[in-house]
Amino acid sequence: MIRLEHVCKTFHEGTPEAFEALRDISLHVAASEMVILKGISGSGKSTLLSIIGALSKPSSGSVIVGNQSVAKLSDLHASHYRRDTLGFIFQSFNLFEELSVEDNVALPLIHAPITHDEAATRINAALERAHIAHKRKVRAALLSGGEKQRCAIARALASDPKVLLCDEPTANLDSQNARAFCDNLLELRALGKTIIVATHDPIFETLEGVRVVPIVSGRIDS
Amino acid sequence: MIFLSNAVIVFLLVEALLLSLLLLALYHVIPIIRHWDFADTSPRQYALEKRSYLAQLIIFFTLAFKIALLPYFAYMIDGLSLMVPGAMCAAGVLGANDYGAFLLGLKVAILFGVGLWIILNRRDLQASDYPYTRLKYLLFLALFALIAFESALDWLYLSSIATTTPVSCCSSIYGASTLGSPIPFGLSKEELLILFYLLYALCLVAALYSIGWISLFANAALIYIGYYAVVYFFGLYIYELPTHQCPFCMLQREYGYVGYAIWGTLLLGGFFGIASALFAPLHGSTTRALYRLSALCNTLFVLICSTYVLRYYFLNGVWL
Amino acid sequence: MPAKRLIDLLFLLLYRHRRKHMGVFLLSTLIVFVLLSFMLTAQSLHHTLFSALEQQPDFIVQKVRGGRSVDTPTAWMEEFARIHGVERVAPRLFGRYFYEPNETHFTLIGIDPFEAQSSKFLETLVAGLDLKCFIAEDGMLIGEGVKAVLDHHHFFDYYVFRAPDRSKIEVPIMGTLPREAAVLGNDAVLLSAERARTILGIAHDHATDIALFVPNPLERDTVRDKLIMAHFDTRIIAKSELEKLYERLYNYKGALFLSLFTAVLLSFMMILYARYQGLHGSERREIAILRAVGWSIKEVLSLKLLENALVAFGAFALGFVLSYMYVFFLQAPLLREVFMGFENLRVHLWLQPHLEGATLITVALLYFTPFMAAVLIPVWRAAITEPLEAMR
Repeated sequence: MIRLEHVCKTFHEGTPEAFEALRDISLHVAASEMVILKGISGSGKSTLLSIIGALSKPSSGSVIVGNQSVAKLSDLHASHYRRDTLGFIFQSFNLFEELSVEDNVALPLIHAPITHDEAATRINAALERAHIAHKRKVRAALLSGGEKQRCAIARALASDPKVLLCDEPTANLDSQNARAFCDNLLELRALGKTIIVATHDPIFETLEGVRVVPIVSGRIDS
Repeated sequence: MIFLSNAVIVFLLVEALLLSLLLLALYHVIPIIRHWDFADTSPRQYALEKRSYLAQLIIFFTLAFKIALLPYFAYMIDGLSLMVPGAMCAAGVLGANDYGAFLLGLKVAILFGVGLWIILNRRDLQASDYPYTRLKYLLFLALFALIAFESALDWLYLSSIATTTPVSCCSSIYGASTLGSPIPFGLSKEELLILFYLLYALCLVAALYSIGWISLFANAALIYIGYYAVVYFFGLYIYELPTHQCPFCMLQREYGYVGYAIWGTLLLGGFFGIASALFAPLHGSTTRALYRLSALCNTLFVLICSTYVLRYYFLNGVWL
Repeated sequence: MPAKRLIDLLFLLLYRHRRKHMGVFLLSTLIVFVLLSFMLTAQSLHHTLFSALEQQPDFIVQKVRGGRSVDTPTAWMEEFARIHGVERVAPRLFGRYFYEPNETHFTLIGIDPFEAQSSKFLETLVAGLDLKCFIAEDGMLIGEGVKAVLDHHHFFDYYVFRAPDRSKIEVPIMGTLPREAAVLGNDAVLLSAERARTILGIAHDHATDIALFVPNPLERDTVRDKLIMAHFDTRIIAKSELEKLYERLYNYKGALFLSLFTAVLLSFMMILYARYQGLHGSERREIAILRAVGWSIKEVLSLKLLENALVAFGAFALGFVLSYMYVFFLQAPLLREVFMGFENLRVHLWLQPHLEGATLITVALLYFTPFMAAVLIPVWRAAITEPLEAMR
């Protein structure tokens, strides 16, 4: 599903502050596999996620997701790729607090070339899978931390993506909610989603059937 | 006399503002033309990609206002006819000095270029690797030169309109009194009309079957012949006067500003037709949409013109 | 997807950044208000003047001697009537009457209701007033400016004119001219032709000048040539020349104002630019979210442009409503003095509600172009935000 070959990323290239965030990363992730990128903050795992998500571009190396090379896409194609193939889940939820759960989930679909009914179906499905359908009309600001993260999951699922990318998803959750989140991810994996989690939370290592990839200063530690 | 009217001041101000915006765009465009390499993964290329969005935004915005400015120019010139002795409509004002007619032609030509740029930009953004970036910015360079030239001419033209020297009015510029037939190729009015409708049919066929070179030829010819057909035939029915031949009076309130619709649809139809032919080698949905737009505008144009003739006939029972 | 969600999002952004937009909104409203008030006043005056002018004769022929106009013999009228294209010829009787106590002039206009009116303009002036009664009592109708002066000197019902033959003529005041007529009729005094002749000292076979009506514009040039050839001691005033003169006068003031206003617009742009230049963390963040969930730079650009365009448009609409009320309901206090010179009688001008699309378009161009130009760079800067950095 995801093939990274010799990916390097250097920030501020060619200046004295040049900083190698990723060095020669090669990683293959199979379809409906769950991979944990484990490392301390600053180890480069978030950068790796952003490269897989086409939010930033590698200095060298190739990134292939599905059948598509995403290392160097035009902005429009990168955006469509994010919209149709990826779902992002963040540490700090990143919801529009004034919008209802449903409207937050609809955000990725606003520019999607689909009909109103189709969008409604997808939003419903996403809400169900993230177990937040009962709060669909509630404003995001009124949700608890765990509910917010479920809302974020629903948003990531809105376009029924093949790949979910999670960046420190449990950092703002208590242990009970973190556990629920993990269970939710396992359900989604069972539905065929490929999941990559960048985290230093040990809870993920306890999950069944996950592959843990330790990242240390920009390299995969083997 | 620059202080001729509010419209002149506003026009020149807006024009100056747009030109400075384009200058700003130029500042960002030149490094892009020099260093653009999409395969490159250097920070410089990434920075250029971001700057390219700024350049496009400014250019797109400016050109959009530029399009709105052409009808405003026509309106302004028409308003000036109140102040230039002898002028009864824009025709006289345009003839007030040597720049006028050339300037109008230049403006229309620039709008064609602007349209091409907008379509090319769209195609470029839709592709996965910005294939036309350099091309579109080179086209922009040419457009910039033309627009700078146009702005200078605007200034020269407007500042040298004399309010004391009488000019000819449209009846003497386009009037029947001039020697020989003003219609090209020595066509009679009937022949002109037949040619006009034939060309329209040809444009439709070309659009229907997406035949680029026919579309190019037929639309260019329709603009040319359509111009004469409106001035020397359809205009008479718009003015309801057998002697009134003028492309500009129909822009006035007395005729419901119909001139804007007539010239607008003619030019747009022609533009989309020609653009569809030029973009045919690139394929894709844009081209088909262009053919459709071209057919739509041409049809509107022919309908508006023909309606005036038929209406006159039904009301008065005679042809002019 | 329906546009509704996009619109919801748009209004949410407007609400979120209301602090940022509020200053700009108020300033823009003020700019539009000033611009439009000025243009509406000018346009209303222009309209009133021109609709009055439209009623005027196409040519006026005056006899001149040594460069000064003198009374014109009415015998010329028959001669002029024979010129092809001339529909109607009429004598006009008017003149200035010096009102000594105030050192001002009244314009005396003699009208003969039994003949064809020499000016349709007069008909509109006295529209709604009872002319028959006016004739029967041989009184006068006066403009508002005249009324104010006479009232001040306690001539409420009549005034005593002094004729050149040393006679004193008492004329009852029958009424005032409608205030719509104030542009041209402010200092007017309308009396019967006979009375006017006596007070102004015009002989019976003479008139102040002769008015000609030539309905077909294409014939006016020939008529003019023939008039020039008919007598060598005449001055011919064409309506078209008057129109051009007035047009130029009004435009000159308008254009001068607009040129000065350029400086205001430039600073307006700079304020806007500075205001929108800084990006809040929360603003970065919301753009980052949108980019991460699959919005392209172009889509974010149009969202932000729409957001700004809404502010611009709202300010335009509010500015328009305010200026319309200021000009036509409040009668543009302060501003109308700019347009009216009042060397003679102070004009109490009534601004008639009148709106032309072209005026709105002109102001819209002058306002929206700098507004949108100033926000382009800030909008771009927001749209190219690096999503991941902003979301930490």
